[in-house]
Amino acid sequence: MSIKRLLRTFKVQNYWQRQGLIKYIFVFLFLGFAFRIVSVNQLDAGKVSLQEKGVKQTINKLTETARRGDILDRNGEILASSLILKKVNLDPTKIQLEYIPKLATALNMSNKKLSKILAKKRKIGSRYLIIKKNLMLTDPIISNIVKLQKEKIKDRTKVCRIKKKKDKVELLDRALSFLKVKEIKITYSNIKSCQKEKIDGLVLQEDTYRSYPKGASLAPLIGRTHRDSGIETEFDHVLAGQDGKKQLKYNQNSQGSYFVPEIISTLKHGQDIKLTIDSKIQYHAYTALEKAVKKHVADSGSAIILAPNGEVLAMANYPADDPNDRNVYNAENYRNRVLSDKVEPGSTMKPFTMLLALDQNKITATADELIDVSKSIGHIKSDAKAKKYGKAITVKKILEKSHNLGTVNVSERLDKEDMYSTWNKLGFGHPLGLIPGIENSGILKHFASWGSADKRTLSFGYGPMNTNLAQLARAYLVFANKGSIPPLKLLKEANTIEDTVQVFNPKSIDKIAQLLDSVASNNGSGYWSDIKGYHVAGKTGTAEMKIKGGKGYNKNGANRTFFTGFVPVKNPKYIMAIRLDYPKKCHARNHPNKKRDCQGSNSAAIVFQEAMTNILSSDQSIKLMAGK
Amino acid sequence: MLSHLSIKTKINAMLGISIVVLSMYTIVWNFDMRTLYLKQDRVEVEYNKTMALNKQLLTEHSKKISGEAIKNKAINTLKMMAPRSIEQILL
Repeated sequence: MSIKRLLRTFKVQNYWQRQGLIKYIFVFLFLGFAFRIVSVNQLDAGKVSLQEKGVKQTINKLTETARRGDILDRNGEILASSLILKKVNLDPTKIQLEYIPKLATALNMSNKKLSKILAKKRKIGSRYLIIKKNLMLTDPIISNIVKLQKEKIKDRTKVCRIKKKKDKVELLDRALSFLKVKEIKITYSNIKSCQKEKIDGLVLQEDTYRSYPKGASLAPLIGRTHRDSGIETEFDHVLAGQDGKKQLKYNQNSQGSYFVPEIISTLKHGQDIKLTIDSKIQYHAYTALEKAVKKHVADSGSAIILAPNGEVLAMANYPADDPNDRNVYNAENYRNRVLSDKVEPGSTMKPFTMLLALDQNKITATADELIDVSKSIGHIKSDAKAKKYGKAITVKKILEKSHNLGTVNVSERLDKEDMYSTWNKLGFGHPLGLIPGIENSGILKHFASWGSADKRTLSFGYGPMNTNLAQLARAYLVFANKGSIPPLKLLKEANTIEDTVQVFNPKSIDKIAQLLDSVASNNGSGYWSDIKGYHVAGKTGTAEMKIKGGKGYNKNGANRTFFTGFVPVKNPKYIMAIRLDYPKKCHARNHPNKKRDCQGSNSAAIVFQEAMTNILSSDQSIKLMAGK
Repeated sequence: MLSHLSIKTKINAMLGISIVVLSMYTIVWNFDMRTLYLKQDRVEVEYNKTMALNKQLLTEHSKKISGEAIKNKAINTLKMMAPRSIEQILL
């Protein structure tokens, strides 16, 4: 195109060409705007579009943290609770020097100490200093800090600052400078300005803290948050709740009012869990156990106390750590041995052999019925020890002295199918469902696989079975329920299906309970469990410890000692089972300085006596026995 | 007084005034909602504070009445000890 022709297009009088130019400009502007609309809405501005960025700015998302539920005992006493604690956070670069004495008083610190700490932090330019932490809401420091933050104007401290201020210039000089006649040099001078100010750089922050007021006594049962153990882990889905999320929209798409938040997920606080545990009974069980483990130099100990309806009143384990001490975590000290260890229960099973024989009329358990112990049966020898109480002894004597051969003789009259069926009904080998995550339900081998010795050894708690301590204690519930056995319960308000099973005849129960009363007397092996003023029944047990992971027994004579008892004998209110692992230091009866091998009678029975003495003395519903 | 105005004008005026009144009400209503929202927030904070304090006091109570605290106080503060011998008296 020639220059002449181009110039012609701009000629004023050429109306159509001028209009065409305007059109082009408008088209160009339109395209420009269109591009901008697309770029604002769709094209990337960073990783998100400008539209998304805009929408985000009009949405205020809020998160509400769910409160973790509490764990309570049967009386509503707190066993675990989430507390809100406060910490005092300081910004050393902002805190006014004039406020340091007041702040030190509020923090209950010396002025000198606080000044020193702040100066040190200021020197390195640190803007973050937690000066106090784990403060309870009732701590006076918190009210002091709040008071300091909300000081009235008249009470505020005068803070002086050095400021640079321009020196004044005369009006004439300014006019001359404006007219560029005279040049003025701007000078500054330091001025000290003082005024009443609020304290700056002081913040109270929140912290959550899971507190366990009963300390170590319940640690293996309750466990600890963020650790794989106990009620805290097993019922985390109930205790944890669900955080709430909502958003406030301030744009044209928001439906309804601006200040009615749209709920994204509903806040659900964690639910409280009420256990059947009685914290006072638990304490007595734990302290008695702790004392026994230390006294007998045992590896560990565990105990469980049940109510007749199957509610677990106490479940104690020792050693145990204090869950409030966050610096220590030893998984072994959080292990709930009552549920997680399967062991051979030893002689504590003898009463069930007698009960079955009595139910089937194989024995009468009367004073005139004598069981022969003069001949060996299988590998159970009739040695001098077996004949210590005579060649033939009563059922009462068998239980009192925990006589293996006598028990085996009785078991020879029973069918192995009946024994298996009864042990099965008693719940051995079946899960209890209290804390499924940690429970070891033990074994009861089917009678078809039993060898000739298995039935004999089963009669006194060895052989084709092993059990956890809770299962053993549950089996003893037959004495409190006229021969029937209810399921165990750990949660107070849980809906359990009451499938109570009738195992023994009530008459047999009464008879054997009377015999067990004499076991826990001066004549029996459980003499140490006798409690003055109360009728106590129980059975001792001693079982050789198996080698870890292998077959066979520990050759060092390591024993597990047991005691399972109930009180009072008529209508029992408390059923307790105790297990001590490898107690090494025990004494003879009435000779505190004479050492003896550790057995159920001189170790585990003492735990029963100590714990029950304290429990019974605070239970007014059980009357003292007249004349005892 | 307004008789010289046509019905159409009157309706228009009425509509105009009602729009203005509704707009003003919308502002007032929105302000009320904001006040309510802030109040709800404040109440929630207060409620949470009270709940936290209640829990703390219950926990402290639970700790204080636990056997351990009582036993420690009996032994360390009150200097109590278990009897060395028990004599039974027949009544």
